[in-house]
Amino acid sequence: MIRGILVSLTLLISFSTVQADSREFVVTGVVINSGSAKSISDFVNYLSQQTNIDLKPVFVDSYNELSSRLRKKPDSFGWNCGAPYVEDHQNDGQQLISVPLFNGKPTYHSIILTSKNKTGASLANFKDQVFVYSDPRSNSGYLAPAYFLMQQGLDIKNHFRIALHAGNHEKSIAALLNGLADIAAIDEYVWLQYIKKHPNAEAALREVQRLGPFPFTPIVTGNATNKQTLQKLQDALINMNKTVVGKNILNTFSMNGFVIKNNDFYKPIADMQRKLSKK
Amino acid sequence: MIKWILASFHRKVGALLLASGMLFSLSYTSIDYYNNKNELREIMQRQSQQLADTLALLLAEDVRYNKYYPLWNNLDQVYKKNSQQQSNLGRLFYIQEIVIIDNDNKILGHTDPKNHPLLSSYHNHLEKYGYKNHTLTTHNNHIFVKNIPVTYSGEKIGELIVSYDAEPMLLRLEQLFTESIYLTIFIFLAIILVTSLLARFINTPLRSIIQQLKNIGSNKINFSKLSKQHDEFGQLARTIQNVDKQLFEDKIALEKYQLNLENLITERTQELEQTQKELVQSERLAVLGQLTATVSHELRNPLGAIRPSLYVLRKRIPEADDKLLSVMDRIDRNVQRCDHIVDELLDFTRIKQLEFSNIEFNSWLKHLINELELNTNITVTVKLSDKDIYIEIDTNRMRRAIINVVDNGCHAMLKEYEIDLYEPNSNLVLETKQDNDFAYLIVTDNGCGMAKDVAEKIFIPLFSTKGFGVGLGMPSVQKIIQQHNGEINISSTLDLGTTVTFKIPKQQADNAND
Repeated sequence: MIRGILVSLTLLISFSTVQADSREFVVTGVVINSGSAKSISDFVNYLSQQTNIDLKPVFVDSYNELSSRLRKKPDSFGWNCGAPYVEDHQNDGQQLISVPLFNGKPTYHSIILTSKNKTGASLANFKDQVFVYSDPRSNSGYLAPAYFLMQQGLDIKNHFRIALHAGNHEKSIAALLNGLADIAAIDEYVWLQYIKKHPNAEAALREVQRLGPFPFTPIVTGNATNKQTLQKLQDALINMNKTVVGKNILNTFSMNGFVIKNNDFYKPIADMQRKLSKK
Repeated sequence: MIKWILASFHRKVGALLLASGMLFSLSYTSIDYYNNKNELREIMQRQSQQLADTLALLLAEDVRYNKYYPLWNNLDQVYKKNSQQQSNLGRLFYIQEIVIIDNDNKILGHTDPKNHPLLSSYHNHLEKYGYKNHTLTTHNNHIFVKNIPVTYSGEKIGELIVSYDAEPMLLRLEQLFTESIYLTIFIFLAIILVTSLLARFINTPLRSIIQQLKNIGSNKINFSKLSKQHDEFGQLARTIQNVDKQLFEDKIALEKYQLNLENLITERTQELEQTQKELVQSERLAVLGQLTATVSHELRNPLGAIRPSLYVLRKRIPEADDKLLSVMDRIDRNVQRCDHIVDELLDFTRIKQLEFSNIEFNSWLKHLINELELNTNITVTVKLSDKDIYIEIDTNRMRRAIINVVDNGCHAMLKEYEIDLYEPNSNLVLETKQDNDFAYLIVTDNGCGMAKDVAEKIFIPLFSTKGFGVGLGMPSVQKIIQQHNGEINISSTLDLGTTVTFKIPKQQADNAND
């Protein structure tokens, strides 16, 4: 029965009816809030109109699925996270299109949260407690705290009694609020969007520390997308804040616009991955 | 109390109905309550078991691979969904907590993770809360637990423990109990109502019947409403009415018969008395008849001889002196008197068929009075009716009766019964009257009258107050009037006079003279 409920919820979220001829614009809940489905749909439709490329939004539950889809359909697009992008770029030739501007910058932080009643000034203080994260490939949710602990001489796999894989940042927050987990690493953008809708969460949780800044979550495409198409997308995104419709969509995302960056912009993340892998 | 109930039919019926109603309502509601209670318990047990079984099956993979978050998320969703349904009607329980433990009794998931951290010992949990093995027994102990093993590929990898709170079911049972009480009261009240109505249906007609039965036989019983009913009471009422009417008619007939019987007895008594009188009179008359026949025969012969002899004497002594003439006149008068007595005797004893003739009574009477040549010292007054009286009589017999009465009146007015010497102012009044059927002759004198005892014996044969006669005058008059189917009445006051009244039918019936 519960599985049925979950399937139903998933079907509700993934309302896409993808047609065979459309290109997918894959979005994961790790990046964006679950309540932003309408905005995502408007965003994808806007890009489709601006570029004359038939795009259909597709929602997936994890970065692995997003990577897999772009791997299988390399002319598809997606809103990826910095850490998986670095991996997918290296492994699959995934291409960077643009980076959103959040608070006027193309960067964000990983916010370390815990319950109000718990003490501790950093992740290092939560030894043998329950850590919750959104996705094992998430930059803010897992890579950043793992790198921070590593810098402290700690291994994320041993430091916590349990590391819970919640699926997305919102679920990580819920785990904290319900007492299932003691500490979590949350995407700064998701957290700020979350507390707008759930002000009680801000009162119940405490920011222990913030990690970063890190390169923000990029708009990407598979390795089959040619430069002209990529250019169309870039133009549409860069000019988005110059159109009324585009500006309204950006406002709903609480973003300022998009900028063009090269792959080196994500070097900090690549460095963290490299150092962690060497450990 | 029992005597009071047994004293009335409708109370007995009412008590019986009430008792059976109470028994029925209590039995019905008790059985209904216990059936519902058992059914609710069964449903609750089944639903809670199914939920736990399904949950254990669903979570097996998460337990197997230590997917704590999905495990908790599933538990949390089930718990919250269950909590949101607490207010639903018909809900029998709600989940208090769900715990999943591994084979080492470590908590893999709990609906209250704040107080029950992951991988903490479940033993501590039991020591703290002690829910396990609780059974649903009383209202205050309404927590029950389902322990379901979690298996994966046939191997037990953990245990699901679901604690249920059956308070909704207990509240529902309380509600059922209250409803049963209300139902019992309702049924009982309904039975009281039905009983009272039934008692009224029985009592009202019964009272009416009993009340009216007091008048049975009076023809006054009237069940105006009851008799219109088509039930047994209606039949009874109609039967009673018919019986009442029949009894009344029988009573009236009996009274009539009784009255007739009394009249008949009176009549027969009178007839017997009359017959007795007549028998006495007949006996006297029989004796009188024989005597009269003998005496008359024996007297007629000497009288017959004296009269011619007197006639011869008058012829032989034409110039007799006054004294001799007086003697001869006395002889003649006394011979006439004797002859008259003989006539009276013969008249009274003779049974002679009357010869009726229709006459005008006033003129006939007037002529008769003129013929009588009454003494001039008597003032005779004849008062005839205004209209003529036509009457059917035997004129000879009636003539003798009237002469007899007139003679008696005249004699009553004689001064000490002296011959031809009357009291001064002697008046004799003859008056006639009539009505439709009868003619009346009233003869009144102002003579000496009669004492009451004398007047009562006036019609007894051979009774006489005169110094002469045989006492057959008035009996003869009575006989004549009776032969005319009439009546004779005498009223007399001593020293004041006597009134004799004849009441004679104008027309004689065919059986006259019988």
